[in-house]
Amino acid sequence: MSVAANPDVPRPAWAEKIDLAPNSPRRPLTLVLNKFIVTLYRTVGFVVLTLILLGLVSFLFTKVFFLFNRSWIAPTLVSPTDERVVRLNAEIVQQSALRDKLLGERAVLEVSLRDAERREATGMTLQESLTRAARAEANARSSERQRLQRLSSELDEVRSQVAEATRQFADVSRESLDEQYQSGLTTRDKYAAGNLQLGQLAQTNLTLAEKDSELTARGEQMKRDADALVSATRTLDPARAPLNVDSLRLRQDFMRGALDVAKAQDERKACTDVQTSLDRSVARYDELLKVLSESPLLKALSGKITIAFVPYQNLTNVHTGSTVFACRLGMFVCRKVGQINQVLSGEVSVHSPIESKNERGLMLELSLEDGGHAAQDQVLFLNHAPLLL
Amino acid sequence: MEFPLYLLVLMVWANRWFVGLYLKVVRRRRFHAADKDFEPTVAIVTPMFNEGRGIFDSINSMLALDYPAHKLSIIIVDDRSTDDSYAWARRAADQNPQRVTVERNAVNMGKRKSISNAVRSTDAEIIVSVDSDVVVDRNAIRALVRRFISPRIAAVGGRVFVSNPNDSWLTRMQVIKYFLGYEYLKSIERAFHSVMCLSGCLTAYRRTVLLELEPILKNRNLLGVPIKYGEDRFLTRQIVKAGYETYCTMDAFCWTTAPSTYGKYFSQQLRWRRSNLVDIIGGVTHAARLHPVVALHYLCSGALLVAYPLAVIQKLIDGTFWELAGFHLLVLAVLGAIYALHARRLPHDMRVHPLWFLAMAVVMPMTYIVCTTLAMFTLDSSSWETRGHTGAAEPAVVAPATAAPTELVPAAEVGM
Repeated sequence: MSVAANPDVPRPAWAEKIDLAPNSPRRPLTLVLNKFIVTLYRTVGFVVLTLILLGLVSFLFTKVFFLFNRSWIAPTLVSPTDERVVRLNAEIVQQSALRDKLLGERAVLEVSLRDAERREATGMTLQESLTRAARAEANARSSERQRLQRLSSELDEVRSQVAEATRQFADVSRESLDEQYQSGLTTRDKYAAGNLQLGQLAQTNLTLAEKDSELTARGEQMKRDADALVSATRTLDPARAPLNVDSLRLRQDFMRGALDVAKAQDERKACTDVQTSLDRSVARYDELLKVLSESPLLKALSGKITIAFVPYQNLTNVHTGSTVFACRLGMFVCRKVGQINQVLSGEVSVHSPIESKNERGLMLELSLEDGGHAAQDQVLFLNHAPLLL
Repeated sequence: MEFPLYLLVLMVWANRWFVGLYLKVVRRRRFHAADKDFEPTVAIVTPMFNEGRGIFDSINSMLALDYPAHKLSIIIVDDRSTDDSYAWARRAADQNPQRVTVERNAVNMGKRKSISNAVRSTDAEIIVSVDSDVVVDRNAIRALVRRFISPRIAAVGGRVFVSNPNDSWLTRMQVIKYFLGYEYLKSIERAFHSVMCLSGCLTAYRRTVLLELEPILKNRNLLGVPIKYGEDRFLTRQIVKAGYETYCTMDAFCWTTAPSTYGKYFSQQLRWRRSNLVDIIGGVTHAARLHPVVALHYLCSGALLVAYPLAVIQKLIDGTFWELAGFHLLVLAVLGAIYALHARRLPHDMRVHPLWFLAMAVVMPMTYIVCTTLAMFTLDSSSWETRGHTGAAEPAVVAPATAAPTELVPAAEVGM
């Protein structure tokens, strides 16, 4: 408006085009506004299209460059919330929980093992005590039997002597009594009483024989008992089992104790086997946890190392000690920033910074000289500047 | 961003392929309504530039159209051809002086002004715009005019086929694109007599309506910058905006030359994108006047015009473009099968193998991202003027209308 109003100010070229009457002092405001918007639109359009063109050219150049370049690596800055770190930590937690669960099972097993061991030891002690007691009892019976045998032998002698003496006395008495009766020196009643007394003397012999028999039977009983006691603690063969009720009871207790001991032994062995197996599993978990804890990502997270991803196709250019370059503007103006310390084992799959897909490869441990700033670059290059710039 | 885009795609697809088909069935009477006794005077207006002997043949083919000779006139406007086109046109006119008129502009002024002048020079009730390189079917005029079943119908368009189907894979692809475009994509608009784009290849207008809208058409501009492309779309929209009805009949057809080289195809697509963008910018303010279904379809299509290339760019950046192309292949295979089903009715020389349509899986996304982006920032371009007119004499900013009408008839365009 002011342009048209002031004749001293030269009119711009566009003013000539839009003016209905070029010499008119005033032009409609809408025309000026329209002109301004159109000029702005054209300027913005030019800038935007230029940027798009530049973007397209750089996009295509980058695509072609990385199609042939085999020396790039992708430094990896790891955050605690990084999906891979979270996954690894979750894995560690999960594996630790499983390991702790195994240790818990092992502790329970330890209790069972100790119980089995105690039962076994107690059982065995009891068995030994029982055996000793049985043997002592058997020995006592044997001694008693021997004493009875001696007594029986003495009784035999005494009985023989008594029998002889009685027989001789009876013979003499009966002859005397018969003679007295026949001579009438005695009455019939006295004669009968004398015969009765002689019968009673014979009864004495019988009593002694009976005593002897009792002693013999008792000695045999002692022998059976002693044998039963010894065999009760020695054999498990039912065919050779002693035929003695008390010893059978003893044997029953002994067998029960032996079974308890055997059971305790089996339990101890089973517990020991399971414990060994659990120990192996825990060792494996320990190994796995160690591997997980020492994974490059977690190490990088703790700030111990700087890591970078190298896809398999670029692995041929990777060597320990290879120089690492960082570049500005993608692949221009490069400088040396460090070197490769080692190639970390274990495949990783990461989102490629070049293409929108996951790529498989390995991790590298880097040592960067610039305080780790280069780790923030999207890609680094190995061995030399990619375009020798 | 993905959900609104999918929603848009879903709505546009549902509208085009399912709602359109449904309306075609339930409103079939409206689709087939015709006044066979309506036989108004008709003027075929054809601007030409350097057509050579071709214009002589074209005029003769127009003279052979099935329509009463005393009611059919032909107006050829030579826009200062530099070859012998004018002589050929004169020769045809001399053989039929009562029916053929040849006018010649004083200077090369472009198609718009040529047609505008021709409209003013005739008193025919119906003006039929026919491009000079278009071959019109013998029954086309009769088929067009009998669709003017009420005074509210101001324009009736015909169907366009490709005249050079086997020039290249691009033309083969376009054969199917044109076919499906006319067969299905305009069904909703046809059902409500609100077709938003009638091709300049073959469209009949009521002369009174053209004269009524002349000031609007003459002063067509965007922020003061004259817009010279997409005239047919603009004209059709203005007709609808003025409260008239428009229709597209499948009974009247013509054949046009489809671009057969990348450069021509790109140039055409760029013009169409500009045209679409300017149309949606101008049309959004009065979309509410349309039938709700048409308005929804119109606005969704316009939004998709911008959203689709953005989605393609996003896919390119994500590196998942080939997944998108794969999905396109699947959809296009289905559409190709639909075409194959329909194309059995067509003569052999008008058919192409349906597999050629699969090329759209790459061509469509690429042309959209390139052309839409470029068009978005070159809406003020005046580079397109048919028949070699450069438009250099046009003012940069249009002043209020005081002069004679200069533009009326849109250029050939098929809105896909």
